[in-house]
Amino acid sequence: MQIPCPICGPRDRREFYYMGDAVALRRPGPDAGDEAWDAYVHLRDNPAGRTRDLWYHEAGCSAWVVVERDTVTHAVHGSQLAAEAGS
Amino acid sequence: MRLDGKGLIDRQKPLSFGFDGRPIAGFEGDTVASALLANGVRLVGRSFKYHRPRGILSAGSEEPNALLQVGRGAASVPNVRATVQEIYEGLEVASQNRWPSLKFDLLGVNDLAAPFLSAGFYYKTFMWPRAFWERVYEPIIRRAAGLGALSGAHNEDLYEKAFAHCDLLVIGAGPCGLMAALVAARAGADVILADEDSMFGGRLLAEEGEVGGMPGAEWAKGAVRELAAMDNVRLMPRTTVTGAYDQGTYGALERVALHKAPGGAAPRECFWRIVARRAILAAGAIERPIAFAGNDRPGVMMAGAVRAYLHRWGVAPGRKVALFCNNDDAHRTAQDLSRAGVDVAAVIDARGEAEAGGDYPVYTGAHVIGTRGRTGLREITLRHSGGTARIKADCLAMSGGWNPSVHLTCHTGARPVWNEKIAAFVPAEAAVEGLIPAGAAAGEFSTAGCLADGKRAARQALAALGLKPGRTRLPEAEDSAGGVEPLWHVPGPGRAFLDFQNDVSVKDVALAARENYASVEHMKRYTTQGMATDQGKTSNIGALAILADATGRSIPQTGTTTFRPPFSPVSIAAMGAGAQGKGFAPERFTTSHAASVGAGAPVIEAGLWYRPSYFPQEGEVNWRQSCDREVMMVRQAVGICDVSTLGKIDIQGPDAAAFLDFVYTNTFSTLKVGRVRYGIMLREDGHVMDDGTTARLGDEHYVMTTTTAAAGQVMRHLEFVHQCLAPQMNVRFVSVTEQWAQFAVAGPLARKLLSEVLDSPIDNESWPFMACGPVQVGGCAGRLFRISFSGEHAYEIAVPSRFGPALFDLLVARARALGGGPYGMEALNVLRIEKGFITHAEIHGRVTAFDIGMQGMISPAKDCIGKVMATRPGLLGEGREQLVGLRPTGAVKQLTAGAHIFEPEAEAIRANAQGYTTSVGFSPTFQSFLALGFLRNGRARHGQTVRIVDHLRQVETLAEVCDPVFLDPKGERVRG
Amino acid sequence: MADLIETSASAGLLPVTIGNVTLQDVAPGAIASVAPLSGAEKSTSAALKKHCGAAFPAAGRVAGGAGGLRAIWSGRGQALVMAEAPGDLAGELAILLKGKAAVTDQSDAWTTLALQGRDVRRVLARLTPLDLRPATFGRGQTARSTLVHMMAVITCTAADRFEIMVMRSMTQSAVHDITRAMQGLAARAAL
Repeated sequence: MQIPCPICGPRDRREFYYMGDAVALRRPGPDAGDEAWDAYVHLRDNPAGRTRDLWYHEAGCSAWVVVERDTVTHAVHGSQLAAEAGS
Repeated sequence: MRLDGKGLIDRQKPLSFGFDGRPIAGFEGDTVASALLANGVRLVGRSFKYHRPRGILSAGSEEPNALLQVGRGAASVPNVRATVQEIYEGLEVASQNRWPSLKFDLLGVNDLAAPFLSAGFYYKTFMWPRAFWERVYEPIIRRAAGLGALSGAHNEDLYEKAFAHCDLLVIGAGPCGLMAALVAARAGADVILADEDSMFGGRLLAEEGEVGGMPGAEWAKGAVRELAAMDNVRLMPRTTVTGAYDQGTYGALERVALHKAPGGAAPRECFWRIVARRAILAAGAIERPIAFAGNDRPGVMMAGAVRAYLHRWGVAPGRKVALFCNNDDAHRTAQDLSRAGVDVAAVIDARGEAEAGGDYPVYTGAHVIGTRGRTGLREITLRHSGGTARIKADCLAMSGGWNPSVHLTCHTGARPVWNEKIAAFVPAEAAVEGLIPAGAAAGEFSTAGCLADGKRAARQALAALGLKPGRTRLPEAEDSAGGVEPLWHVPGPGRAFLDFQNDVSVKDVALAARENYASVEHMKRYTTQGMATDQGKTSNIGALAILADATGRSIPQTGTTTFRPPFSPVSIAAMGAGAQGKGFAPERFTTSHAASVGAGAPVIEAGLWYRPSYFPQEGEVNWRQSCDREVMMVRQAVGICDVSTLGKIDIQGPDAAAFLDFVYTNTFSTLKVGRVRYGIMLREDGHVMDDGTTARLGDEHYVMTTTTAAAGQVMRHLEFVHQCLAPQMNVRFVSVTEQWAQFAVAGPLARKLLSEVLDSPIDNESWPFMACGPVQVGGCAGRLFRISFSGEHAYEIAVPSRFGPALFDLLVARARALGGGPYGMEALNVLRIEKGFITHAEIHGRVTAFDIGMQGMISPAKDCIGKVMATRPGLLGEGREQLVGLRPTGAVKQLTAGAHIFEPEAEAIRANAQGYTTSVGFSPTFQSFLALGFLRNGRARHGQTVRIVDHLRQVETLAEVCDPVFLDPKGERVRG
Repeated sequence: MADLIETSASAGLLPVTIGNVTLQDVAPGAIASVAPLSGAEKSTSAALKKHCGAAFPAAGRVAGGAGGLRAIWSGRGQALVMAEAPGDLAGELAILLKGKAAVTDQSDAWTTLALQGRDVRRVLARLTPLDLRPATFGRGQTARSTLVHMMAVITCTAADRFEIMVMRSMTQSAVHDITRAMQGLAARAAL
């Protein structure tokens, strides 16, 4: 599997650490309430199809990357830097 | 029987190898199979279930029967296909699954019991009594049914893993693959051409037909010569592409040195990961057997294999050969044999019409209905329009048509498509992204068709790569249609085998259908068809056809099973290549490692790091003596310990302080320059992630320390928080773990020692507890931190790593002069337990700041990671297991880590568990075992007695609950 | 008091020549990591260019400078400025780039190994998943990736020469892994 790093280009997935759904980018405010925090920390969709995931180019450039890919076909549709993904 | 003047073997290089201890002569270029056949050996193995005699069926990697044990000793490899193993001088191969010998196998009685050993036999027979399955039935079945055996010894041979990148990967070097590679390479593409055979040419090496006016093998040789001379081409013989994966990644197994005697320095095999922008699947096709009674007898072979042995290896697999087929293509077998002077006994064609091609009897509309011969074919029985006949033959070539090798096109989930014209499955459209099937693998069986399709596929790939193809003329070649009429099964009495390796017959599949295992996936599992090491390469389609017939459906309606990687077996040794011994994981050594080892210290692993356990002195016979001495040395004099393994992160920028306030629960923006503060950080779910000290070196400059274990995790976390949650913060961080060698100097004489070593002495005014700053030591710029992990007056001194060994030697020498010395991990652990300091034994991922008594460190004045979730219901209060100290009070004085805590009178069962111990050490200071642990509502229970039970080590102790800080709770020693 | 003496992490291990490839260590000079602060990317690069002759390198590139100085891109928003001679490079750059970039002394954090010879790319193919074909990874190209199980900075310094930077503590493992790849490759040639 190859992951397109926005900085380094396509790289072997061995260089990356996988975190999970890019929902982690949208941290609620301290007063957002229990439901918002529960959703943020614990609740994840499990889509058959397109998903946006966070990968960390740990053995590469250290960028956190949002990768859009398809859980059915395994196709990778694109990626962008998490720092620029805008929450 | 070897024929003169034929074959691509090197007759100048005779070789000899052993088969079951018997010497066999062959030539360079022979496989074990070709050499055995050349020597008239037909019986090669016993079948899996019935122990039936079996011979060589094929000439390629699809071979189901002729599996052998290769080599002796530790590196002996089972289940090697005789058709793939090349011979070398001194090679030893042995037959499998027979006892006491291949010719006389006692378990051959299984064959007589065959009526009872039908599909689902295990499920039906060994049901009762239940307890017998593991103890009685399974061991017996495992011994009776099986293939080769592993040596069970450690394999010292070298294996390799490697990566390759290319524009175009061509899988298979037959006429199609060679043509594709030529067209693509001439256009300038970076080409890898891989073929599982030792020679390139595919079927061109196995047939007599001409290509471009010369023998096919000659044309192939020329093509290979041209390719080999090009810089942009990499030829990979003996390399099987075993799997197609995502984003153009392919797995491939190269048999680097399996054709040479073991023991050399070269790797035996190499497992390749090939990343290709485009790939062409030119893997050819596999001939399919016909199911008729007795079709598994040694001497019954695939027709294409007979031609391969004849042309490639100059071997006639029999003296009197018959042919049974359903297609035109197979007739060449009889013609070629006849021309080579081999007696053709008969040609039996199931079709109504067929032309005689030579001086031999041809039976049309006829079927073989039986075979005879105890351990090898002697005679066949056929049924034709006029009745039945018996014909003497020692070899029967059969052909039921060809199946395109579509396997790789299915590896990412696609299913192949039924093609009525060739009565076979072909690859689905765009089955694997970037993979173009071509030639026989795509259902194009003639040589001319394969050459043209190779060119077509290469041009398609070049267009995708943005390269312009040059003009390439196709050479002239044979262009005949296969003319196949499906024939799956000859009805009649007797067992007709489909899956030779797993002994699955037509009856088994029919029985599965009758018992309603009508889905192909269910049939497969019920009968075990296709589940052996050959993955049903010669049997899947036949079994599917029988199932379709039995269930009254068409083949496409019945479906196919799923092909998964690998295409052919990959040894675990190749997959794990490089991970033996020191290759398993990197070893990280501190700068004092050599000195510690030199001092006799045993090392223990801490993550990837190696750290000294203790430093034994003369007269000490066990580790506890050394550890106790080192603890007392620190408490009474001074000790030196390498703490460089702790993670160190340099943090700079205008928002450095604000950033630390966000990741730590406590506040670092208020920390003065030149001071250090202890901090804890949480995960967002409110549990403790890590702890450590952070020093403020300047207004916008901090250096954070993490625990050894969590250094990588913390770095990743900081990057996450910055890039994903707070990209607006102007802060930068970089690991400096490796830059600094850092040593703890701990004990009442620590300051005295440092004052001797530093360029200018220190005192309590200039270096109070938790101070930090630059120092000069031995002409070198270092850093000094007055921090303590032992509860003693202590410092940590850091210098650039290149000076680490020298500084360690210096510190140890000075410490020894003061009655101290180095201490290791054991003493470090006891020291911190006495002081109640936590490690990841305590903050193991399920504890909160509240649990360790540090809820007060969560600043109410600001947000931080984990703060909201740390106050969730259930994470606070009496129900939580809280950090406590424990000391033994009863008759038994021993404590162990990982033991469970109970009320003194309660039964020691899980439902009554009140907590557990996490860290235990014998404290020479208190002359007692001490433990840290978690106890429900523990902080309110100081003074109570509990029962500690270690069920594994069978230790039971009564203990008193106390504060986790056993030593100097007021902290007077660290400030002294 | 006597001055502390230096010790190399690869002392006694190198050089090693197997087949047509040689592995040797590169004398540790001075290394400083430079990470421009937000909005100061251009001014950092300009200051570096003026002072060292090497601008801040683009991703995957090495910028060669004057007097044995060069800047190797080493990750998102970070470069390693390297001098052949030891010295307080980080201290100098910290003054030069004050308020513009985070500068950290990394002189002792890395071991730099040089791998050179005709089959250098074939050796590296056994160690890293990087695409190192000459057309995609030529002289002046650098990447951070894995070397077997460890992180490494791999730089092409000539057609047949690469520099491999690994964490100092892993030097012995790096030498072990690289030499084993060299041995396997050389033994193949002898088959």
